[in-house]
Amino acid sequence: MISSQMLKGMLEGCILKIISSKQTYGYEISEELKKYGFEKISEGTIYPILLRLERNNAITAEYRESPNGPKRKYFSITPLGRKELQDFFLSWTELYNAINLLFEIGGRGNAQ
Amino acid sequence: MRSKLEELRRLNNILDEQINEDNQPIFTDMICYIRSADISELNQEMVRRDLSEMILSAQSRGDSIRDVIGEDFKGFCDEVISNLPPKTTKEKWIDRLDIICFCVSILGGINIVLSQGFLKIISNIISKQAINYNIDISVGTMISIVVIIALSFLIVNRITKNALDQGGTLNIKEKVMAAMAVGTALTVLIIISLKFGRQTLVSVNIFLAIAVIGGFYAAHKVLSGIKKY
Repeated sequence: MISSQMLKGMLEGCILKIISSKQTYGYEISEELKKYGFEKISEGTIYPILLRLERNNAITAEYRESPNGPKRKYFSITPLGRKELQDFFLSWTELYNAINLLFEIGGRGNAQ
Repeated sequence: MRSKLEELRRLNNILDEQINEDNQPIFTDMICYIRSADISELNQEMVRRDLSEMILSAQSRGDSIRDVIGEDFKGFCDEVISNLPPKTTKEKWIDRLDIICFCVSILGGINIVLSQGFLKIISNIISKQAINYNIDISVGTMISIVVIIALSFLIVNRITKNALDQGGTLNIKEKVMAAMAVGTALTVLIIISLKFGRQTLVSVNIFLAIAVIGGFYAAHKVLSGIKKY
């Protein structure tokens, strides 16, 4: 299980990635995340992040009819959001490589 | 034509009615808490709409509000509030002035209708006697309006800010302090009313008084219009 502390910084990028592939809504995002192994990410966890992304113009929202229940708020990524996603993935790759290197060498020698 | 804010409020009232009895109490507390936040009314209503729709979708799936939000409702609301733009100083003052103008117009209106002068004017009109259109405004009336508005601000603020606190909103010390504060304010109000209650502060023409009260109400309408940013 991924700790919530660890998740906090990464979730924004992961949500952007899901929105980048299709227009989607909160519950669908949480279900999609579940498919990739992110457990217990409820709509309540996602909603403040969506608000932040919307406020930062990384995504836009529109209400559309839903087959059951009230209208749903669908999110789409903006060009700025795509740029943010790219930056996130670059940062993540750097972090991933750095952590892997650390764990491979395991403090046995110097990383150079 | 309805403003965006009014339209959203109307839609939210319809959505609220569809929230079931199990989810309603927590939902109401959350909205109450969000109302105390330093965010615009439009953003408050937008969040209310999003939450209503989230809960209604959950209901249609057979889930509860706890499945959607978790157990930490206050934490969730704080997170939501922190991700919305705070009110500017100008917006805060418009808000306060709007409430003050509205309260003064209502309380002033009530005081005019209940004043001795007004009742005398009515009785003189009925009995076709000479009419004195002046009414007396007492020191007690002015003080009671100020105290009622101030107390209302404090009480509403206290209730909304503590809407999501678990296990009682106040500890014993706070309860005692709150009771003492309210008690002192009421005692001061009663003493002042008894001492100065009948002392006339100013005697004005009733039409002028109505015009002033109308002015406060018009100011409230204008300020509410500005708030629909």
